[in-house]
Amino acid sequence: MIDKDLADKITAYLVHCYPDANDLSVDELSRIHGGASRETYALTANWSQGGETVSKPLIFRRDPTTGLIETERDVEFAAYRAFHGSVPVPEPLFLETDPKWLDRPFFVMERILDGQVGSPFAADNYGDHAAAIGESFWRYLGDIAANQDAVLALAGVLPAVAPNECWSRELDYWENEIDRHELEPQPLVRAAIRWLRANPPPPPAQVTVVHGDYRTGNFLHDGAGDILALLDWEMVHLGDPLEDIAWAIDPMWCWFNRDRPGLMISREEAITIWEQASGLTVDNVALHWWELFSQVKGLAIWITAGETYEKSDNKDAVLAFSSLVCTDIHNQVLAEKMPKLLGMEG
Amino acid sequence: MRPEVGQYLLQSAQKLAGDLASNQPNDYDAATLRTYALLNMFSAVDHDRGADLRVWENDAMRELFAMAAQIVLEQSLADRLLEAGASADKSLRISDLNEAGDALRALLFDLQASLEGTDDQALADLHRESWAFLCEATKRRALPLMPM
Repeated sequence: MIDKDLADKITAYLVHCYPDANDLSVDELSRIHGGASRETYALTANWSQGGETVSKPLIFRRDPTTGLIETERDVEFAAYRAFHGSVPVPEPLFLETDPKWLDRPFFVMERILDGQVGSPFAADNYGDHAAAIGESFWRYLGDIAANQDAVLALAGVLPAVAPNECWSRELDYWENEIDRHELEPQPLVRAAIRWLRANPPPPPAQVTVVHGDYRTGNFLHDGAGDILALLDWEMVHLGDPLEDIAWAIDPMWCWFNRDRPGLMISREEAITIWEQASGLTVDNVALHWWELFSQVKGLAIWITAGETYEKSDNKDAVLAFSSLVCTDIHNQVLAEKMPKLLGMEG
Repeated sequence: MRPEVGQYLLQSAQKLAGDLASNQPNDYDAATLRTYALLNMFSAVDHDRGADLRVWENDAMRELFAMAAQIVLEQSLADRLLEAGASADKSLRISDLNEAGDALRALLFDLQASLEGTDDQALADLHRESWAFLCEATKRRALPLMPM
């Protein structure tokens, strides 16, 4: 149950945001799963204005006390703003850093109605619409990579990176996360990190906006083949666009049907669509590097989740699940890959 | 302990994922209960196999280290391997087995890092052995996952 205090605080904030609204009330307030890095609340605000009744479905994304990953809400908000109108994302409405309203910073955005979310842990999510959704999913990712206006728009909030430093900056960051949060020694991921450092990828042709968590489970679809909204931009950054491809095709998101990345279409079809939309060419050597990197990044996130659950007051069950199940899956992937990369098979 | 721990963990998982989740007023709480149900199921698995799995891992690493101590050239690493290879688990409590396993895995990490890129056949074989262990341990630890 959502306590009345939170509903009252949200109402007070919306009255502040919509000063011309009369009799503003908040209905259908409920917490929803929207990633473990922010508390996400769905609600509908109703008010009257100029003789008209207004009903506005909204999402509030509030900073957690501790979360799965540490991210800046202003960066996520800026990403929604940069891409609104070019790919399907909810309209960002208000960014609030003053803790007087809801104790912690948050932002508000449009709530997409009647959207469905796919589970990475299903055998099939999209049924007969898998091909249509897959086509849109990969085309939108290509559109994101092609959008150099968004790179400029986000330049004020995202650190710049040179093409030949994309890989090392990301690897440094995630290795540091493992260093900080590791609860037990992890020989598999450490071996993968050593291999990645010893075999750096070629640089990208151009630096692009990288969504950072582009995958099944982070978009809404209408159940009839259309994607309604691309969500969870909290890990957005500038970098190598292959990072997003590698993350989206990671076995984690199609564990029970590995021939169809994200439980949509084949890897080959996906890359063809992405190349057409982005105007870029996938370098397979680089993509393989980023695929291994995805397992390292994933493990850094799951390791952090486990440490957060054990050592903080945040006992979100998703943290424990991520630590247990996702670590298990990514370790299995590394156990398959690493002996081959080290020349130990055959 | 009767009934067996695994039995009532599975029973509670069933209850959490069934009636209790269905009766929650919102999706968030229902999803949380279903997640805890899964965690209970995995806990039941670990309760049954946990000690066996950890004892096997710790013994396998000690065996590997005892062999490695005879081959590794760097003296300080060889000394640590020799000592670890001769060590034993303090008890069969999971916490004790974990503590010993963590120390052994940290040494495995150092050993593998020292062996990468070696031209020496004996060291290369040892590297291969260390990976065979790691892959087998990962396979044994794999959770019995099912599509949701």
